[in-house]
Amino acid sequence: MNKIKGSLALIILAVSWVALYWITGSRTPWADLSILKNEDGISVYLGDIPAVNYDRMGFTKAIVKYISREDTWLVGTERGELSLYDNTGHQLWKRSLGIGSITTACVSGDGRLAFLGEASPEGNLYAVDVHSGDILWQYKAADFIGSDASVRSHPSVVHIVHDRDDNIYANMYRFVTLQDGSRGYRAKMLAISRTGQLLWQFPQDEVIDSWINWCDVNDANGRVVISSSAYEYREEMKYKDTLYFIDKQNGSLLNSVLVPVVEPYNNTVMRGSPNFSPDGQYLAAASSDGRGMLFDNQGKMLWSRAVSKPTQVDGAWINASGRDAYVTPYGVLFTTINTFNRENWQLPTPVEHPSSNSIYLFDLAGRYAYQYQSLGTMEYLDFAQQYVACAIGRNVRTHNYAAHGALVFDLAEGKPRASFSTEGPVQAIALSTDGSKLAAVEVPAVLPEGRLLGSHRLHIWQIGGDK
Amino acid sequence: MSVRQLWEGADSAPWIQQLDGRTKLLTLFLFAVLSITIDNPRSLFLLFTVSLILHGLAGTTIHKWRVLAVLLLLGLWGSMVSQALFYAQNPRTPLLLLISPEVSFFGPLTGGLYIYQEGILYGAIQGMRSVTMLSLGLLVCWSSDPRQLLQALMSWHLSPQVAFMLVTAIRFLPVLAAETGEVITALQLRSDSQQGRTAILRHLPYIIKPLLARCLRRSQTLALSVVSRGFFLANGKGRAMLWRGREKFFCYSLIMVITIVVSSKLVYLLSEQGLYFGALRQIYDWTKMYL
Repeated sequence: MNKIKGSLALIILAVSWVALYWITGSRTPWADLSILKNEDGISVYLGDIPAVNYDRMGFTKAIVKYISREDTWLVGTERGELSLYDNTGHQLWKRSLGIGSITTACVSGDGRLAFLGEASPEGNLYAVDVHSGDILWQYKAADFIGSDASVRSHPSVVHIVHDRDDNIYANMYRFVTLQDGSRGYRAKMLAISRTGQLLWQFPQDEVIDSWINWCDVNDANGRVVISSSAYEYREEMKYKDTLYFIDKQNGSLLNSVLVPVVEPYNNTVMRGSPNFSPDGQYLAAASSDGRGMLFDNQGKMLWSRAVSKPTQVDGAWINASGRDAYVTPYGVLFTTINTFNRENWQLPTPVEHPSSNSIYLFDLAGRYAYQYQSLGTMEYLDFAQQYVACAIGRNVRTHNYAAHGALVFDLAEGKPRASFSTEGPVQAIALSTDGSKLAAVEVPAVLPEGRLLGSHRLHIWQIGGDK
Repeated sequence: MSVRQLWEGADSAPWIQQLDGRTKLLTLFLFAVLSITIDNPRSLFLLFTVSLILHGLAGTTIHKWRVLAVLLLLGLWGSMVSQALFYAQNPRTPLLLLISPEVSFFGPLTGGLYIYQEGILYGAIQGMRSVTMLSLGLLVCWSSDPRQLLQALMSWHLSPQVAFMLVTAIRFLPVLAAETGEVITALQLRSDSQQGRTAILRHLPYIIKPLLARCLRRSQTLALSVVSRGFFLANGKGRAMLWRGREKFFCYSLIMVITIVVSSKLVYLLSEQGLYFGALRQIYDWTKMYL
């Protein structure tokens, strides 16, 4: 007994050593203990992340992608960590990509490769083996559009799409401060083969002097489209147009389109669109001024609808910006986000725009089908079967924290199929190919009163019957 | 084993006893730099483990292991528990609610008392920093003759007075422990209390005065002894000691490794302030992942 008593401190030290091993590893105790299960699914803690203010424009980012080949979920965080989870919430592998923040991702058609973009002083574009997490090749955006770390002008790979042959098309940009103190941009698109061979770059010998955010590619029409995303507009700019159509084989510019502006905007800005229809006949686009538009594949506008009309209330122009636009088998889908004051997004608005935070559906002829309004911004969309999964994030106008969660919307029926609540805003979402499972990343936010809302978690839900 | 023996370094493995004082002190210093530089929890854990392994290799006796364990546990869990309770940074995720904000008096007073998971990790990091150094410090104390350390300091041309005082501080650890033991024994005998931990705790508030008196007496004796032996005379200085080549090589290698680590950390921190060089990206990544 005395021996045991004498060795008690040693035994506790040994136990503490094991506890420290556990606590300091990537598989911390709470990573396992915090796999919370309920009747809908599970949630997994994704590790510490700096929480930012709820009202901040550049909010915490995350990505999640469904890997159908392995029935797993690929998760990327703002801390530059990439991990693969199975449906039970167990981590299959995790790796850090270093000092960058993961900003965008797309998965190859066969599900073997993931292409990831980061925001960092180099703005790397990675091809990662999904099964092992190995980096197969990488490009630096800084080599193409430069970088200036002294003013935090970091290049960022903002959007990646792939074609049937898994050639990828990636947009990259960084901001610059011009001599007159105004904001300018340096941007470029790279086309890279699956094996990492640079096919072409657009423009070939210069950079785009505007912000490009979104792009799409279509095998049926052989075109790549880029939209410009900068509110800044100057006569001396070379790339003033809204849409640029590029030959996907050689990167040559086929044509460009300047979409007419609407009051009170200076130019037409697209940040989450355009996207081609699967048959390559149409191109759907939503602009920040609240318009939803359908073009043919040459860029000729077929129709335009004001899904959220800028309105002057008490002398302030308010608007719910249009963002996503897709041509689905059930119609042309547009989304709108929070209500903003045209003068400055941080300024309050007297009312919430009635068209904010909504899904709109029109048929190909432009006839209105329906609107569905959620309580918070639809931060990201993912499609499977007749369903669209929406990551419901913040509502910076109403601060309705009950809005946060995930929504699965049945496009054929025009009504929600399922919804799931989270404490913090959801920033990324993915739907399994058969539409039966849903994964979403919740992030924490600091509320105006200083309280922390939500946590950095991956949620995996089973979608049952009607809810 | 007496209390005094518990703090003296006479029973370690020969290899560590024979190491030059300079090797020991330099290694101790470099590990201190390393533990301050590193923020990564797993790397700090490895460093802590190395310090424990060194104790194992040095043949630290079971009695000393017990003392070591108590000190390490106090440092480690003290830091972890305090940070888990009072972690003030964001994000912080409550694992356990100890006092609800609704509880009368203490609730509004504390705003609710929680155990935060981020606080546990933060506390573990701070705790591992201190216990690693505590562990290595005790290793040096337990495996070195104070004269060895004194010679090392003097061979680096440190003022003999300063070197002597530094080493005396170490030398006084076993003396202090023995004195404390004697005072407690005396107090126990005088108060006719039962022996055991409770009795010791009861006497702790009364040990300061006799202990201070004994220390002063010893200091006076020591000072007289030093002066009478002419310790600080000029002809006694600068006796060169041989520093074995292997040890020297080990120290230089360690200096090189620590320099690389510290430089990596510095360039990484500078990169965050805008002084970024693309060619160093791999170093930045390595630093972020492991340091």
